Amino acid sequence: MLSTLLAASLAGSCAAWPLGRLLGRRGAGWGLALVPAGLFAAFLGFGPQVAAGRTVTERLAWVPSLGVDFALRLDGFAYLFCLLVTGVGALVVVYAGAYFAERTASDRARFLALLLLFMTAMLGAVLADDLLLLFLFWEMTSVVSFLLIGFDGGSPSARRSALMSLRVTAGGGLALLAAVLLVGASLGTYSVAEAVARAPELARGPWAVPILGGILVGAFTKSAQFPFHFWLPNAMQAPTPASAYLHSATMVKLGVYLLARFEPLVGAVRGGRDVVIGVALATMLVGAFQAIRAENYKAVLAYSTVASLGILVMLVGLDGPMASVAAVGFLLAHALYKATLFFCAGTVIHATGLTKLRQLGGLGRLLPVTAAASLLASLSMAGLPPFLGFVSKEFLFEAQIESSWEAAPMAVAVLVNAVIVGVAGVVTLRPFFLGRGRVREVKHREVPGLLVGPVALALLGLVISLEPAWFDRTVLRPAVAAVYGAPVDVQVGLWHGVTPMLLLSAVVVGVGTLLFVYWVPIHRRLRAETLLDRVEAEHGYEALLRGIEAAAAGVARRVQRADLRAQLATVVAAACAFVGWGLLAAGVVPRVPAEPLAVRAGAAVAGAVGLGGAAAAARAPPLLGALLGTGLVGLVAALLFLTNGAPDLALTQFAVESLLVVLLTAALLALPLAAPPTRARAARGRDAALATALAAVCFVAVLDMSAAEPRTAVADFFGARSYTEAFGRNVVNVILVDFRGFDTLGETTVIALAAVIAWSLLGPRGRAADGGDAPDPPARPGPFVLRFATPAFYWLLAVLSAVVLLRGHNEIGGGFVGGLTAALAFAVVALAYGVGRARGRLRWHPLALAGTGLLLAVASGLPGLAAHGDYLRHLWIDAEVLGVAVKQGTTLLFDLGVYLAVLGAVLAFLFGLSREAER
Amino acid sequence: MPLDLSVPASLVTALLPDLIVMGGAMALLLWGVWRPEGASGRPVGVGAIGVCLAALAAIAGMAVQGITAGPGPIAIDNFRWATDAVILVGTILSIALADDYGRRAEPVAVESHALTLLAASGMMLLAGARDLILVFLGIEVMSVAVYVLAGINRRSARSAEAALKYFLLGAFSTAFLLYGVALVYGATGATNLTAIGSALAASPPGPGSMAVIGLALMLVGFAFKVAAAPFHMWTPDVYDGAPTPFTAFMAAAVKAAAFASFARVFMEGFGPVFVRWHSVLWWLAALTMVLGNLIALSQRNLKRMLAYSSIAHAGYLLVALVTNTTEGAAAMVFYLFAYTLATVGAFAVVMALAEGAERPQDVREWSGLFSVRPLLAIAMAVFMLALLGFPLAGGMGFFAKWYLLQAALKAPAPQTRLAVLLVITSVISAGYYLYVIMVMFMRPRPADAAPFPDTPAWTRSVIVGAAVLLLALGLYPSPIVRWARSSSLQPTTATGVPSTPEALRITAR
Repeated sequence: MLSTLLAASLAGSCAAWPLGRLLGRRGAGWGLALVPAGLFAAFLGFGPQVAAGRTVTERLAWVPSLGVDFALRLDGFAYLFCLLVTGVGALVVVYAGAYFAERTASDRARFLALLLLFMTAMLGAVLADDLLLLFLFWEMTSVVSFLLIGFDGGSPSARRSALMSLRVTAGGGLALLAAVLLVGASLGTYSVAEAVARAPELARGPWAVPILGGILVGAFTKSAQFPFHFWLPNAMQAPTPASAYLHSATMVKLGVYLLARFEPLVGAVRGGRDVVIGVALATMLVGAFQAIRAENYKAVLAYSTVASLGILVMLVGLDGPMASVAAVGFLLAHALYKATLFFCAGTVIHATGLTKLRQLGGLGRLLPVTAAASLLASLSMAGLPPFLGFVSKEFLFEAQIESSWEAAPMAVAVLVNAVIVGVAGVVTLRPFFLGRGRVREVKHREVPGLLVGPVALALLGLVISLEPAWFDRTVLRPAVAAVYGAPVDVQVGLWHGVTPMLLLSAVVVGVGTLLFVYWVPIHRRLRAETLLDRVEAEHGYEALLRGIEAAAAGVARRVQRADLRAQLATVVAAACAFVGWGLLAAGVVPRVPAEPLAVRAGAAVAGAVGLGGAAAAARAPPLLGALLGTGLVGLVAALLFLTNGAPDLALTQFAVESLLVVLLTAALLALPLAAPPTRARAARGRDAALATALAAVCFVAVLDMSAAEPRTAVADFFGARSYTEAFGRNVVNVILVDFRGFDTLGETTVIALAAVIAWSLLGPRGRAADGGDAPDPPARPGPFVLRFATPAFYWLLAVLSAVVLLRGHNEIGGGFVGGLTAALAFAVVALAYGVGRARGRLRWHPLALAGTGLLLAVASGLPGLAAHGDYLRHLWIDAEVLGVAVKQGTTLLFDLGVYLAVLGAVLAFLFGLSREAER
Repeated sequence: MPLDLSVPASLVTALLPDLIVMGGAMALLLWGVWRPEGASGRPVGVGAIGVCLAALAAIAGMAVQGITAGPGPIAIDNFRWATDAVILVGTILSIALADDYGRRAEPVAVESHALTLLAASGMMLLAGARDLILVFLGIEVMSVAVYVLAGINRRSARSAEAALKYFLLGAFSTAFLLYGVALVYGATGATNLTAIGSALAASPPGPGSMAVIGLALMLVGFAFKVAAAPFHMWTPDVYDGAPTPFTAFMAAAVKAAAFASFARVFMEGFGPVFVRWHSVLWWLAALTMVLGNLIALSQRNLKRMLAYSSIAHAGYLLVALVTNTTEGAAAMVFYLFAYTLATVGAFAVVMALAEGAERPQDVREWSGLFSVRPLLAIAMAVFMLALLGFPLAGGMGFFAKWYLLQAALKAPAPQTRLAVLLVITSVISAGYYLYVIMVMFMRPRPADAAPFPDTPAWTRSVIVGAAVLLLALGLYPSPIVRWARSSSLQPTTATGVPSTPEALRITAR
């Protein structure tokens, strides 16, 4: 049933946009008001159940796996809110329909839809029995409030206020989310009722203070408590119907609602009540004070709302049953009279176009019914009998007397209530009854749509206190029981004899009347103090925003370098730090070989040469020098591989190094050879330090590795089986083509892919936009020596590559090195005569080479699949060719594939680069 | 149905989705080369998306049949299927965008689709690799293609700079990763993750120095790929410079694949030494969240802002990794899905509103977007709110964060401080996400503002599809939660997995 009502509310708000346009200027408000009015009637139907003290619950699974249920629960306190939200909602919708009569149909429909959407969110928030659900609806109210405040987005101040309210309330909502998470983590449940019932357990837990803190921040931001109160006066940028609904009657009470729900937790955590009451008192004083200083009609009302919210929070903070009674009573009374006053203010501003109180006067004759409604509301606000405001004020003082708190709250309450009396006088008497003749004409007279709301609410404030039986039974007692946790015997009555409360009320009214009489001088005097403007909490908010922005900009400046070298330095530095940190965190020290390794002379010399090469590469300003230095280091590495019994690796390293030099030379032809130094001295020093650190990491790793016991299991495995299973004596090659053939196939794919990419980036097609497929540049004669030696070199390298390929399975070599060697052959030609000649020699397209290679490699596995159902199992044939025993297998095909792929890829690079260079 | 990976036919079955994508890429490449001059490129785009859908179907088939396998080199589990699906969804969306981009703005070669598919096949390999060699292979295939995609617009100097930076830094970091792999192999004698886990669990006093150094170096490689601070430097430059569809591809699919592998390697392989890598990762996550969000605040260029936002999200995802639990992995998958939709959608809107050639777009140019393009503005608001993790209007984004937070709090070692930091940094992120919304909805459109170009059909479909999916799954996320949860990645514990002889076999055959 509850979820049906919520769904109906949501459906209504969704339909409101199109319907609002259809219904037209007069009908929109009245027509759409049927949605909240219908819901109000439906909620009234729950009356008997609620009066009997029963709660209505409903639980639908939503995301059970995340522990989120769509759980709703209607108890007395939620019931009060539901009636308030739907009842006031209906009146607001009617009022807004008339208020927006002159605006476009689209504006009107959008506004009404937002109001109804807000109502849905508000109902959801008070009905939710799941903390997460509560949070969802909570944030939804913030968003709708944001949209309503910024409804007239044309003005920068409206945008600023809208964003401010969203930041404050939604940010506070996230604090609430943190609390919700911690509650869930502590209790294992997200049920609101259960969390409240188990409040003592929460208070004993380790997260009591963060949980309470999150809830308090959420509540304080939403209910505009000091020091977050500043958003509420700014929110007056919203069209007045929204101010009446959201920013006085309902949404700002949501924080109070949450606090009242979690009152047991507030009481259970030490210091909880002190904080709540302290903040509330500060809010009351600030609100009252600023209400006197404010000039705008709506601003005065807004600040008095802040003060009233402070009173409500204070009542939640006080202990004792009467505090609950007073909170419920005042909540209702305030909603009724404040919404009425906003309605009246809206009508006045709308009719006159004036916003400042001192410009207004004598409107009583022009807007008589509005004036009457305003008068009734003001009397209730001032706490005069026989209005509801009087009753609630009696409760307030009774709660204070009864509670364990002494003088401070009482004194503040008397003072603040007196100011509220003064405000009540100012906002009604000044515009409507004093200053006759200040406003001579209005743009429009009163229309029914603008009157129903204020009149109904103002009269309700009178009716309830005069005829309290139904209200007492159905609303007040169940609500108080829900808040206090136990039934409280309470009677709404106007006359309880001469009690301390009555005397306090009399004092308040007396002081308030004096305040009203001397309002203008006090107001002027306080406005003259500009110091007060400077200490506003709003400045704190702005300073915070500016601070965050400055911090962001500062961090961005410091951390984010566009320079590639700085980025590289960061990566290197962080990598070194990670290794150091990892070792430190693990508490292990790198091992050092037990006995010092014997240093051989050859290796030492090679090492020294390598070191020299590295130093030269680092120091050399011209790029060519650096390139040669790097090449030297690579050659030394190859030599060391060779002397340490890895001829295969050495051969590959040699081939790679030679090829790199050739490739880079091709690239360097395009660049100025003597590049000026680009780094300052300090930068060079820093880079040197970083490089040293990285070298140290590598050194430590190598040292550590050489101290480890050699693991020979894998090596033995392959060594033993290399010939018996794969008929190859070169274990490295056998691993590549056979044992881990799949990995090699993958790598071959990568190489072929690289060929395609290099060609698409550097090849002629990529520049098609410049004018079609440019032909290769004509052959260019290179230096004489190179030309002289090239033919010999070319054939030597070509033959060598074939030999290396063919014998690779048993001797040093293989497809990869073979391919590199062949590429070297063409590279030499390209260097000597230009790319054109090299391409002529090749005849094939590099990509075709690479593609064929990949296909061959893939196909070489097929025979095995066909014969044994085992892809990449190689087959062997023994044959006698011309009297020589030949044992060949599909491994050769595989190797040939690798060969061609490597050749194609390297040539794609080389041709592309040289072409760029020759341009 | 268990699959014996030593049987080649089974191996092909296990790699079927990857092979479909890879084969599709090759076929498209050929078609792109030989297609008649002046023919429309659209069939290539349709074909590329078709290939992805076929792979998705294959994945669905495998998942439905419940195919499993032992701890071989290729993982066959729901975690792989789930991350594959996320990757493919990101790929499909990016291809659709790239197709429109190629037709409207810059003559991007048709090969871009083939390259995208190749990158996707590398990502899928990465997501399924349970062997460090395969991990490296996957990273290579993915990265090489993505480097080129970043610089595919050859007429743009910014694009070229982006590609070069990405390539150089990426190659550097991959070298670190490879060095780490070698050291880990040296320390444990295995490249198979399960075997590594067993070996690390078996070593009595904890991992030796070689394993620790290897671990740290591998962390560098992965941190670079997922763009975690302080290895995030390349991200804004590259995201800003690359053509927008490929930026979306990088931000969504590359990140998803890298995180999938990151999680698998560190949970399955290094799970037993959780306590060792936990503190480093913790700080990595914290630093990434704070830096990403803070710097994003100061950005006004939309693509750079989204780049920093993606860094921040890497931080959130790292929180899931820090938990080292099955639940954390599931939350990560769920989050990746929501993040992919939102971030690709956001980039799609950026692309839709860019005029002709790419140029830096300032947020303030979007003033009053709602008044001229209400649909785009609403969709963008949904994406922003989803990235922010805002309830209801942000759709699934909220539950993604919620799941993540729950996983962090429910872990055996609860990451409460990290969870609180996540919430706080999310509050900071509201500063820039909401700013975009405010500009679009509330600022008036200047009278002299240039009109926005029309949104091409596929881009519109991507935007609407992503927004609707986000919202719908925000209202009813249960299926995706179940799906993510079924993708259980089991962290290896110190006492957990017995070392099976099969696991120690390192050959692929």
